[in-house]
Amino acid sequence: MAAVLEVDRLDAFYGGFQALFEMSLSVDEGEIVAVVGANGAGKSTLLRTIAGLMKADPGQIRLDGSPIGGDRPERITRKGVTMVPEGRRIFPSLSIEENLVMGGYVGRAGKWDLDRIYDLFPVLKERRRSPGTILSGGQQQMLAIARGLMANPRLLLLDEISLGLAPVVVKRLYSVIPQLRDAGVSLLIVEQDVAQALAAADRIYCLLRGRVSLEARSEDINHQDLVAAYFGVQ
Amino acid sequence: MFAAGLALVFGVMKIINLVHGDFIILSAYLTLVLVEMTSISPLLLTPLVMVLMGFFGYLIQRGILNFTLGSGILIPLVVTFAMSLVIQNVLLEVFTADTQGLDAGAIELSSVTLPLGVTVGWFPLLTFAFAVVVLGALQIVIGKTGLGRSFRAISDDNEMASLMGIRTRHVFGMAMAIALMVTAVGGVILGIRTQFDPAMGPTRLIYAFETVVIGGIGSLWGTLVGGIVLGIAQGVGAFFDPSWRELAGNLVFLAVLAWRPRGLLARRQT
Repeated sequence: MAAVLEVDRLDAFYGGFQALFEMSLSVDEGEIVAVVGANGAGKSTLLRTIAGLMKADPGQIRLDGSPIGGDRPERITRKGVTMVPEGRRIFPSLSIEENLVMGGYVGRAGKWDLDRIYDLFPVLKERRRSPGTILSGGQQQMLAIARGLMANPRLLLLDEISLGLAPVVVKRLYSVIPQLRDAGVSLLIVEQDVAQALAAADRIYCLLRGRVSLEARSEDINHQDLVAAYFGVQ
Repeated sequence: MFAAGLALVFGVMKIINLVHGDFIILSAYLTLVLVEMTSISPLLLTPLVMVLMGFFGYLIQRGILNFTLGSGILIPLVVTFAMSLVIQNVLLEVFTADTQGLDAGAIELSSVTLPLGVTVGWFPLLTFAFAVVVLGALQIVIGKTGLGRSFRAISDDNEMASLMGIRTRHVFGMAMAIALMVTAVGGVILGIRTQFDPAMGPTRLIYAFETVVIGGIGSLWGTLVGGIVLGIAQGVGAFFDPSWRELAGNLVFLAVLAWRPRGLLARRQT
């Protein structure tokens, strides 16, 4: 299958500190790929760089074969990569519906519109006139994902969607993900919870101190290898 | 009305715009030039001045101020301060230091007697009506339109807004354009009401700041209230002694800072 996203020997820096070292990975059409790793391994940096919030050389990140590395974030969104950032980042001054409409700002054609989002997350419809911040944490996360979908992305980047949420809520959120794939969205997920990542993804990458330490299909993964790749022990 | 423009720029771009006062004076001079060219009443020229200042604002933002964003609070301050000096000196060079005024005709002096026997000048009444209309229009733009939604989203979370695909540089330009359109109305009224000269900008800027702070940062109607409060304070001060005019305004400003530091109509904390 053709790769939607290719990351090719990507380096990323915070000032003088190098966060990613020659990182390469890919996401195929219709695939769900998870990235796991300890705190500081570079997971969020990877997503932020793909989304255009950090510098990259054009050829280091390719969408459907064409270079997008280092483009401005608004242009990358326009081309079909949308990020749901860590911590949800709902716009507090906007109502729930306005948050969703904002998500569709780029006007890409596709299946996702308000009606379809409300079918997927009925609770958002009930409260669409209220400010986004009155929702519970899990509902805010639904809103953040829904807002990302409104851009009709080819590739959706999800950063730590389970952060700070009760297990039952996390389960509910992850139950939506197969439906997104069925609707033609490819996903790149960053997840702290390795078991959750393995359950949801077709393939996982484990990061260790800015490098890929393991890449495997979820069903082939060997527990010991994963532990070694996660903690960096031999 | 000067204050509304300042508040909008601060809210969306998070920059403190030291050149704002000079934009007011610039609008007044622009109106003066247009009046001399066309011999039309300055009040009727207001829409044209608004459009011209709007374009000017967009260009200033895209051409200069956008480059100062994201580099901390100091750079925009220095750049706007420098622009303030440039505008003052260009005005001085072109128009000299002589004071100028705009002539709106008889309306400036005529008055109307309201019930209860209160006599009000037409012009102050018109000014107030302008302020309400402008703020109402601003409220609609910010509350109901797509552009306003972008303003609020950027004001909340600039980075997230760019992830939604909003072209923040363009939206900043539009915010400055609208701010200067509002300012232009203020400039025309200022020119009719008082004499003006090229060095007046900074004083206007201080009034605008005080108005925004008294009313509450982030609240448009607060800005109107702030303007009224400041105006009344200055009027009452001047009634006792003309030299108390500024003093009274500043005392009220300090009192608000002391007792309601978030302003009279501050936006609720979320």
